Amino acid sequence: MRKGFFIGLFLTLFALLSATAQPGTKLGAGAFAGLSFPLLQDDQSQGMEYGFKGRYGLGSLIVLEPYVSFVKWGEPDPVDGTPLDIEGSKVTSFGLEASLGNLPGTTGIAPYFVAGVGSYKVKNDDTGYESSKFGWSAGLGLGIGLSPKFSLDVRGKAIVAPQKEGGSKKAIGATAGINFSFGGK
Amino acid sequence: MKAIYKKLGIIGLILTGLVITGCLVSGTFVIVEHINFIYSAGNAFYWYPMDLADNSTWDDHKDDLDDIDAVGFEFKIENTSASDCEFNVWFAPATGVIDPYNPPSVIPDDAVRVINGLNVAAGGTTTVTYAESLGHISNLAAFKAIVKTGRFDYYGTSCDDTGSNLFRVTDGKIIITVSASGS
Repeated sequence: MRKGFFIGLFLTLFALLSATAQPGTKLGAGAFAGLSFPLLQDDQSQGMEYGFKGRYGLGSLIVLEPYVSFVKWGEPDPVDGTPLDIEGSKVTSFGLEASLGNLPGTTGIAPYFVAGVGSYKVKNDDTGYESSKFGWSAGLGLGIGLSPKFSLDVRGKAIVAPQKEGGSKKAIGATAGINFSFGGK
Repeated sequence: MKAIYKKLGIIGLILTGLVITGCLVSGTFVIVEHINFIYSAGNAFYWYPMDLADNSTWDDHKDDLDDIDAVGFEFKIENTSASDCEFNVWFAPATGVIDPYNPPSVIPDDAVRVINGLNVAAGGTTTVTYAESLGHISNLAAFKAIVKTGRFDYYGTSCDDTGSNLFRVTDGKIIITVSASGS
Protein backbone atom coordinates (compact mmCIF):
# COMPACT_ATOMS: atom_id res chain seq x y z
CA MET A 1 0.00 0.00 0.00
CA ARG A 2 2.71 2.41 1.10
CA LYS A 3 4.98 1.28 -1.72
CA GLY A 4 2.23 1.88 -4.28
CA PHE A 5 1.63 5.34 -2.87
CA PHE A 6 5.27 6.34 -3.23
CA ILE A 7 5.61 4.92 -6.72
CA GLY A 8 2.42 6.71 -7.74
CA LEU A 9 3.63 9.95 -6.20
CA PHE A 10 6.95 9.67 -7.99
CA LEU A 11 5.38 8.98 -11.36
CA THR A 12 3.01 11.92 -10.91
CA LEU A 13 5.87 14.25 -10.06
CA PHE A 14 7.85 12.87 -12.97
CA ALA A 15 4.99 13.62 -15.36
CA LEU A 16 4.49 17.13 -13.97
CA LEU A 17 8.18 17.95 -14.21
CA SER A 18 8.32 16.59 -17.73
CA ALA A 19 5.42 18.78 -18.77
CA THR A 20 6.69 21.97 -17.16
CA ALA A 21 10.47 21.77 -17.45
CA GLN A 22 12.24 24.41 -19.53
CA PRO A 23 15.80 24.37 -20.90
CA GLY A 24 18.22 25.39 -18.20
CA THR A 25 16.08 24.36 -15.21
CA LYS A 26 18.48 21.50 -14.31
CA LEU A 27 15.66 19.22 -13.33
CA GLY A 28 15.82 15.52 -13.67
CA ALA A 29 14.61 12.19 -12.42
CA GLY A 30 15.96 8.71 -12.28
CA ALA A 31 15.58 5.14 -11.17
CA PHE A 32 18.10 2.84 -9.57
CA ALA A 33 18.52 -0.77 -8.51
CA GLY A 34 21.21 -2.90 -6.96
CA LEU A 35 22.26 -4.82 -3.91
CA SER A 36 22.02 -4.07 -0.21
CA PHE A 37 24.45 -5.62 2.25
CA PRO A 38 23.32 -5.55 5.91
CA LEU A 39 26.14 -4.82 8.33
CA LEU A 40 26.48 -6.67 11.65
CA GLN A 41 23.03 -8.19 11.41
CA ASP A 42 23.00 -11.91 12.11
CA ASP A 43 19.33 -12.10 11.21
CA GLN A 44 19.66 -10.75 7.66
CA SER A 45 21.63 -11.45 4.52
CA GLN A 46 22.31 -9.65 1.26
CA GLY A 47 19.22 -8.45 -0.57
CA MET A 48 17.91 -6.27 -3.35
CA GLU A 49 17.27 -2.54 -3.47
CA TYR A 50 15.46 -0.37 -5.97
CA GLY A 51 14.04 3.11 -5.99
CA PHE A 52 13.28 6.36 -7.71
CA LYS A 53 14.54 9.88 -7.30
CA GLY A 54 14.00 13.42 -8.47
CA ARG A 55 17.00 15.64 -9.22
CA TYR A 56 17.39 19.40 -8.94
CA GLY A 57 20.64 21.20 -9.60
CA LEU A 58 21.18 23.86 -6.96
CA GLY A 59 23.82 26.29 -8.19
CA SER A 60 26.77 24.83 -10.01
CA LEU A 61 27.83 22.22 -7.49
CA ILE A 62 25.01 20.66 -5.50
CA VAL A 63 22.20 18.38 -6.63
CA LEU A 64 19.19 17.82 -4.38
CA GLU A 65 17.59 14.39 -4.75
CA PRO A 66 14.26 13.55 -3.14
CA TYR A 67 14.02 9.78 -3.24
CA VAL A 68 12.11 6.70 -2.27
CA SER A 69 13.76 3.30 -2.00
CA PHE A 70 12.73 -0.25 -1.21
CA VAL A 71 15.10 -2.86 0.21
CA LYS A 72 14.34 -6.52 0.79
CA TRP A 73 17.08 -8.31 2.67
CA GLY A 74 17.59 -12.04 2.29
CA GLU A 75 16.96 -15.04 4.53
CA PRO A 76 19.54 -15.23 7.33
CA ASP A 77 22.25 -17.85 7.35
CA PRO A 78 21.97 -20.63 9.97
CA VAL A 79 23.11 -19.62 13.44
CA ASP A 80 25.09 -22.27 15.36
CA GLY A 81 23.83 -24.80 12.84
CA THR A 82 20.22 -23.78 13.38
CA PRO A 83 18.40 -22.61 10.22
CA LEU A 84 16.01 -19.81 11.04
CA ASP A 85 13.97 -20.20 7.83
CA ILE A 86 12.51 -16.71 8.02
CA GLU A 87 12.36 -13.96 5.43
CA GLY A 88 14.71 -11.00 5.67
CA SER A 89 13.39 -7.61 6.70
CA LYS A 90 12.03 -4.97 4.37
CA VAL A 91 13.30 -1.40 4.56
CA THR A 92 11.21 1.37 3.06
CA SER A 93 12.90 4.73 2.96
CA PHE A 94 12.09 8.18 1.65
CA GLY A 95 13.89 11.45 2.15
CA LEU A 96 16.26 13.94 0.63
CA GLU A 97 19.85 13.47 -0.44
CA ALA A 98 22.33 16.02 -1.70
CA SER A 99 25.16 15.14 -4.01
CA LEU A 100 28.24 17.20 -4.59
CA GLY A 101 28.68 17.23 -8.34
CA ASN A 102 27.06 15.12 -11.06
CA LEU A 103 24.67 17.92 -12.09
CA PRO A 104 21.72 17.04 -14.29
CA GLY A 105 22.23 17.79 -17.98
CA THR A 106 26.02 17.54 -17.99
CA THR A 107 28.09 15.11 -20.01
CA GLY A 108 31.25 13.25 -19.16
CA ILE A 109 32.38 11.35 -16.09
CA ALA A 110 31.95 12.95 -12.65
CA PRO A 111 32.79 11.37 -9.29
CA TYR A 112 30.60 12.71 -6.52
CA PHE A 113 29.86 12.55 -2.81
CA VAL A 114 26.30 12.07 -1.60
CA ALA A 115 24.69 12.38 1.84
CA GLY A 116 21.12 12.54 3.01
CA VAL A 117 18.46 12.15 5.66
CA GLY A 118 15.28 10.16 5.44
CA SER A 119 12.65 8.09 7.13
CA TYR A 120 13.56 4.43 7.42
CA LYS A 121 10.90 1.85 8.19
CA VAL A 122 12.29 -1.59 9.01
CA LYS A 123 9.73 -4.40 9.09
CA ASN A 124 9.90 -8.16 9.31
CA ASP A 125 6.67 -9.97 8.54
CA ASP A 126 7.79 -13.24 10.14
CA THR A 127 9.04 -11.99 13.50
CA GLY A 128 6.68 -9.02 13.78
CA TYR A 129 9.59 -6.62 14.27
CA GLU A 130 8.86 -3.07 13.13
CA SER A 131 10.54 0.28 13.69
CA SER A 132 10.33 3.59 11.89
CA LYS A 133 12.65 6.53 12.51
CA PHE A 134 14.73 9.12 10.72
CA GLY A 135 18.19 8.07 9.68
CA TRP A 136 20.95 9.17 7.39
CA SER A 137 23.16 7.99 4.59
CA ALA A 138 26.45 8.90 2.95
CA GLY A 139 28.46 7.54 0.08
CA LEU A 140 30.30 8.04 -3.15
CA GLY A 141 29.28 7.69 -6.74
CA LEU A 142 30.30 8.07 -10.32
CA GLY A 143 28.09 9.87 -12.81
CA ILE A 144 28.44 9.12 -16.49
CA GLY A 145 26.71 11.74 -18.64
CA LEU A 146 25.97 10.08 -21.97
CA SER A 147 24.16 13.12 -23.35
CA PRO A 148 22.53 16.29 -21.97
CA LYS A 149 19.36 14.23 -21.52
CA PHE A 150 20.61 10.88 -20.24
CA SER A 151 23.17 9.82 -17.71
CA LEU A 152 24.11 6.72 -15.79
CA ASP A 153 25.40 6.58 -12.26
CA VAL A 154 26.80 3.96 -9.93
CA ARG A 155 26.72 4.58 -6.23
CA GLY A 156 28.00 3.00 -3.03
CA LYS A 157 26.28 4.26 0.06
CA ALA A 158 26.17 3.47 3.76
CA ILE A 159 22.82 3.80 5.49
CA VAL A 160 22.26 4.11 9.22
CA ALA A 161 18.66 3.58 10.34
CA PRO A 162 18.22 4.26 14.07
CA GLN A 163 15.64 2.06 15.81
CA LYS A 164 12.88 3.07 18.19
CA GLU A 165 14.39 1.21 21.16
CA GLY A 166 17.93 2.45 20.44
CA GLY A 167 20.77 1.22 18.28
CA SER A 168 20.53 1.14 14.53
CA LYS A 169 20.33 -1.09 11.50
CA LYS A 170 23.10 -0.45 9.01
CA ALA A 171 23.75 -1.49 5.47
CA ILE A 172 25.84 -0.75 2.42
CA GLY A 173 23.94 -0.23 -0.80
CA ALA A 174 25.58 -0.67 -4.20
CA THR A 175 23.30 0.53 -6.97
CA ALA A 176 23.35 1.55 -10.60
CA GLY A 177 20.85 3.96 -12.06
CA ILE A 178 19.70 5.83 -15.10
CA ASN A 179 18.80 9.50 -14.99
CA PHE A 180 16.82 11.69 -17.34
CA SER A 181 17.32 15.46 -17.42
CA PHE A 182 14.43 17.71 -18.31
CA GLY A 183 16.45 20.88 -18.72
CA GLY A 184 20.20 20.89 -18.69
CA LYS A 185 22.90 23.41 -19.40
CA MET B 1 35.66 26.39 -7.61
CA LYS B 2 37.93 23.40 -8.04
CA ALA B 3 39.46 23.96 -4.58
CA ILE B 4 36.03 24.14 -2.94
CA TYR B 5 35.01 20.97 -4.74
CA LYS B 6 38.14 19.23 -3.52
CA LYS B 7 37.69 20.35 0.11
CA LEU B 8 34.05 19.36 0.17
CA GLY B 9 34.98 16.02 -1.36
CA ILE B 10 37.49 15.36 1.39
CA ILE B 11 34.92 16.32 4.03
CA GLY B 12 32.51 13.97 2.34
CA LEU B 13 34.98 11.11 2.44
CA ILE B 14 35.62 11.71 6.12
CA LEU B 15 31.89 11.80 6.88
CA THR B 16 31.35 8.61 4.92
CA GLY B 17 34.15 6.94 6.84
CA LEU B 18 32.60 8.03 10.13
CA VAL B 19 29.21 6.67 9.13
CA ILE B 20 30.68 3.34 8.05
CA THR B 21 33.18 2.76 10.84
CA GLY B 22 31.99 4.87 13.77
CA CYS B 23 28.55 3.33 13.88
CA LEU B 24 29.65 -0.29 13.61
CA VAL B 25 29.70 -0.65 17.36
CA SER B 26 26.03 -1.60 17.27
CA GLY B 27 24.51 -4.65 15.68
CA THR B 28 21.93 -7.41 15.75
CA PHE B 29 22.91 -10.76 17.18
CA VAL B 30 21.16 -14.13 17.29
CA ILE B 31 21.55 -16.34 20.35
CA VAL B 32 20.70 -20.05 20.30
CA GLU B 33 20.32 -21.75 23.68
CA HIS B 34 19.76 -25.49 23.95
CA ILE B 35 17.17 -26.78 26.39
CA ASN B 36 16.88 -30.12 28.11
CA PHE B 37 14.03 -30.17 30.55
CA ILE B 38 15.35 -31.01 33.98
CA TYR B 39 11.95 -31.54 35.50
CA SER B 40 9.55 -33.71 33.54
CA ALA B 41 5.80 -33.61 33.05
CA GLY B 42 5.59 -36.71 35.20
CA ASN B 43 6.00 -34.25 38.03
CA ALA B 44 3.07 -32.12 36.77
CA PHE B 45 5.18 -29.74 34.68
CA TYR B 46 8.44 -29.39 32.83
CA TRP B 47 11.01 -26.95 34.15
CA TYR B 48 14.21 -25.54 32.73
CA PRO B 49 15.99 -22.67 34.47
CA MET B 50 17.96 -20.39 32.14
CA ASP B 51 20.76 -17.93 32.73
CA LEU B 52 21.96 -16.31 29.53
CA ALA B 53 25.10 -15.11 31.33
CA ASP B 54 26.60 -18.44 30.28
CA ASN B 55 26.19 -17.50 26.63
CA SER B 56 29.21 -15.67 25.22
CA THR B 57 27.20 -13.56 22.74
CA TRP B 58 24.80 -12.45 25.47
CA ASP B 59 27.66 -11.83 27.85
CA ASP B 60 29.41 -9.62 25.27
CA HIS B 61 26.35 -7.39 24.79
CA LYS B 62 24.20 -7.69 27.92
CA ASP B 63 25.23 -4.24 29.19
CA ASP B 64 24.40 -2.54 25.88
CA LEU B 65 21.10 -4.18 24.99
CA ASP B 66 18.67 -2.00 23.08
CA ASP B 67 15.90 -4.43 22.31
CA ILE B 68 14.85 -8.04 21.97
CA ASP B 69 13.99 -7.98 18.27
CA ALA B 70 12.56 -11.48 18.17
CA VAL B 71 12.28 -14.63 20.23
CA GLY B 72 11.17 -18.10 19.27
CA PHE B 73 11.64 -21.82 19.93
CA GLU B 74 12.43 -25.13 18.43
CA PHE B 75 11.33 -28.43 19.94
CA LYS B 76 10.14 -31.91 19.13
CA ILE B 77 7.16 -33.47 20.85
CA GLU B 78 6.42 -37.17 20.87
CA ASN B 79 3.01 -38.19 22.15
CA THR B 80 2.97 -41.98 22.39
CA SER B 81 -0.12 -42.06 24.59
CA ALA B 82 -3.57 -43.12 23.41
CA SER B 83 -5.04 -39.65 23.75
CA ASP B 84 -4.50 -36.25 22.12
CA CYS B 85 -2.44 -33.90 24.24
CA GLU B 86 -1.86 -30.17 24.43
CA PHE B 87 1.48 -28.54 25.19
CA ASN B 88 1.59 -25.22 27.02
CA VAL B 89 4.62 -23.06 27.77
CA TRP B 90 5.16 -20.38 30.40
CA PHE B 91 8.12 -18.16 31.13
CA ALA B 92 8.74 -16.54 34.49
CA PRO B 93 11.37 -14.06 35.64
CA ALA B 94 13.90 -15.56 38.02
CA THR B 95 16.83 -14.48 40.14
CA GLY B 96 19.85 -16.04 41.74
CA VAL B 97 22.10 -18.91 40.85
CA ILE B 98 20.43 -21.87 39.13
CA ASP B 99 19.97 -24.85 41.41
CA PRO B 100 18.65 -27.81 39.40
CA TYR B 101 18.30 -29.83 42.60
CA ASN B 102 15.83 -27.38 44.05
CA PRO B 103 12.98 -27.22 41.52
CA PRO B 104 9.89 -25.11 42.13
CA SER B 105 6.80 -26.87 43.40
CA VAL B 106 4.38 -24.85 41.29
CA ILE B 107 4.44 -22.62 38.23
CA PRO B 108 4.71 -19.11 39.73
CA ASP B 109 1.86 -16.60 39.49
CA ASP B 110 3.97 -14.11 37.51
CA ALA B 111 4.68 -16.62 34.77
CA VAL B 112 3.56 -15.53 31.30
CA ARG B 113 1.95 -18.10 29.04
CA VAL B 114 3.58 -17.91 25.63
CA ILE B 115 2.32 -21.11 23.98
CA ASN B 116 -1.29 -21.95 24.60
CA GLY B 117 -2.67 -25.38 23.77
CA LEU B 118 -0.40 -26.69 21.02
CA ASN B 119 -2.21 -29.90 20.09
CA VAL B 120 -0.30 -33.13 19.51
CA ALA B 121 -2.37 -36.03 18.26
CA ALA B 122 -2.30 -39.42 19.97
CA GLY B 123 0.66 -41.42 18.76
CA GLY B 124 1.96 -38.40 16.87
CA THR B 125 5.21 -36.49 16.69
CA THR B 126 5.30 -32.75 16.16
CA THR B 127 8.44 -30.81 15.34
CA VAL B 128 8.10 -27.08 15.75
CA THR B 129 10.74 -25.05 13.93
CA TYR B 130 11.79 -21.54 14.88
CA ALA B 131 9.81 -20.04 12.01
CA GLU B 132 6.71 -22.04 12.93
CA SER B 133 7.02 -21.16 16.60
CA LEU B 134 6.68 -17.45 15.80
CA GLY B 135 3.08 -18.12 14.81
CA HIS B 136 2.29 -19.87 18.11
CA ILE B 137 3.64 -17.27 20.54
CA SER B 138 1.27 -15.09 22.53
CA ASN B 139 1.98 -12.31 25.06
CA LEU B 140 5.07 -11.43 23.01
CA ALA B 141 5.83 -8.08 24.68
CA ALA B 142 5.76 -9.58 28.19
CA PHE B 143 7.79 -12.55 26.95
CA LYS B 144 10.47 -10.25 25.51
CA ALA B 145 10.60 -8.26 28.75
CA ILE B 146 11.30 -11.45 30.70
CA VAL B 147 13.95 -12.61 28.23
CA LYS B 148 15.65 -9.22 28.37
CA THR B 149 16.46 -9.83 32.05
CA GLY B 150 18.69 -12.74 30.98
CA ARG B 151 17.60 -14.95 33.90
CA PHE B 152 14.29 -16.75 33.68
CA ASP B 153 12.61 -20.13 33.99
CA TYR B 154 10.94 -22.10 31.22
CA TYR B 155 7.87 -24.18 32.22
CA GLY B 156 5.79 -26.57 30.17
CA THR B 157 2.71 -28.67 30.79
CA SER B 158 1.13 -31.49 28.87
CA CYS B 159 -1.55 -34.05 29.70
CA ASP B 160 -1.75 -34.52 33.44
CA ASP B 161 -1.75 -38.27 33.38
CA THR B 162 0.44 -39.31 30.50
CA GLY B 163 3.75 -39.05 32.32
CA SER B 164 7.12 -38.21 30.88
CA ASN B 165 7.54 -41.50 29.04
CA LEU B 166 4.40 -41.05 27.00
CA PHE B 167 4.76 -37.37 26.23
CA ARG B 168 8.32 -36.27 25.61
CA VAL B 169 9.63 -32.85 24.68
CA THR B 170 13.15 -33.02 23.25
CA ASP B 171 15.63 -31.14 21.04
CA GLY B 172 14.57 -27.86 22.60
CA LYS B 173 16.11 -24.53 21.69
CA ILE B 174 15.23 -20.95 22.43
CA ILE B 175 16.38 -18.51 19.75
CA ILE B 176 16.74 -14.87 20.73
CA THR B 177 17.54 -11.95 18.41
CA VAL B 178 18.95 -8.94 20.24
CA SER B 179 19.97 -5.46 19.18
CA ALA B 180 22.86 -3.94 21.07
CA SER B 181 24.86 -0.77 20.77
CA GLY B 182 27.98 0.47 22.46
CA SER B 183 31.49 -0.87 22.65
